[in-house]
Amino acid sequence: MNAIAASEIKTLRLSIYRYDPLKQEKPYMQDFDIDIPAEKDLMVLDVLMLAKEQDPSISFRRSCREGVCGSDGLNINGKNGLGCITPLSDAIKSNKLSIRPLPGLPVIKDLIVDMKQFVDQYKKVKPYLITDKKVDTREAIPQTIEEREKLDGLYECIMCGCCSTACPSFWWNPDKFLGPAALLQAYRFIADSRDTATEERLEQLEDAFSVFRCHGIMNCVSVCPKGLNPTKAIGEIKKMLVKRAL
Amino acid sequence: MNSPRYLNLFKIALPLPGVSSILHRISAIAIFVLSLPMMGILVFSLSSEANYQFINSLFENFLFKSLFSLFITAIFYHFVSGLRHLVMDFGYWETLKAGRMSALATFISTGLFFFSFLYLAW
Repeated sequence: MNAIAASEIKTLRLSIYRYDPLKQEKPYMQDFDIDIPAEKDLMVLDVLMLAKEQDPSISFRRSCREGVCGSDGLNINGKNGLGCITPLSDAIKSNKLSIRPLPGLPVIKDLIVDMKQFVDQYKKVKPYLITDKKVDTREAIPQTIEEREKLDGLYECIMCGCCSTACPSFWWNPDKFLGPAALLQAYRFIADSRDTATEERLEQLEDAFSVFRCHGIMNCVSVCPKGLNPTKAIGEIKKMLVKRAL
Repeated sequence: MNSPRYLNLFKIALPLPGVSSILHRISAIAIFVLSLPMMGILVFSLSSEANYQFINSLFENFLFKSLFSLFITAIFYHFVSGLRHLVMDFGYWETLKAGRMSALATFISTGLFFFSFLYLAW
């Protein structure tokens, strides 16, 4: 492997949120100087890996490194995103990169958060097909092309948590407001022509908090790494709930 | 559970619709706080000609005039931003691009209103 000339290297000032539950200290930001190839546009996850070479105690989740598993949701220079598919060129301002955990969730260690609240809300929407028809599981339940198209923009969610942890309504009421990720999934099954539990699903969402705490702030749409639109899905649920009440 | 939660609102970036939404709430607080004194001033000014002249003279005071302009602008912003949310409730402007444009429109219209008001009041 050829050595990289010094002129082709630039130094990035990386600032990482640190917290160790075993030490009796408050969270703090630790700075690292990371040498990166000037011509290469690394991903934020690559930079974290380089920082981990300097300090192996830095903890963060990662797995697929291509935006599929949703493990490395982080707050990158103030905006939530997946480290593995966020290029430095999109993230950095004046050669400085600050990485913090997803906002609002309990921090387990450094950049690792406890996703329990997020997953609990997901479970509440029953994210699976419910049908009262007798179905032979060896056969597919037929759908028209139009019916299937209604699920586009809904089923692609990878549950990274970027949207819900960017939502102020979820920050203040994480146990009552379901959050954009869970509501996107709720609508994904309400919109599914094969699902027959629409009435029960809507009934469960009818209270003042579950859906109606969404005030269209659109942080969720702004940060979704898959380009999905939970605000629109929530709007559809709200319309169905209003029609149902009239 | 004593784990810390990261939630520094000064470090978390908000998109334009998010800023618009927070200002909607701030304007509501401004209206709530200032409504009662403003109504008191109105009632006082209508009670006699002398009182009316007194309140009228208050408008020569820079601080009072600024506070009044802020109150009127907060009402305008809250109204325009509320209309924006109503439109969204009907299923329009729900894409990020439309959300940014409509938020920008509320800022621009409020700015225009504020400066027009200042021009007329000063």
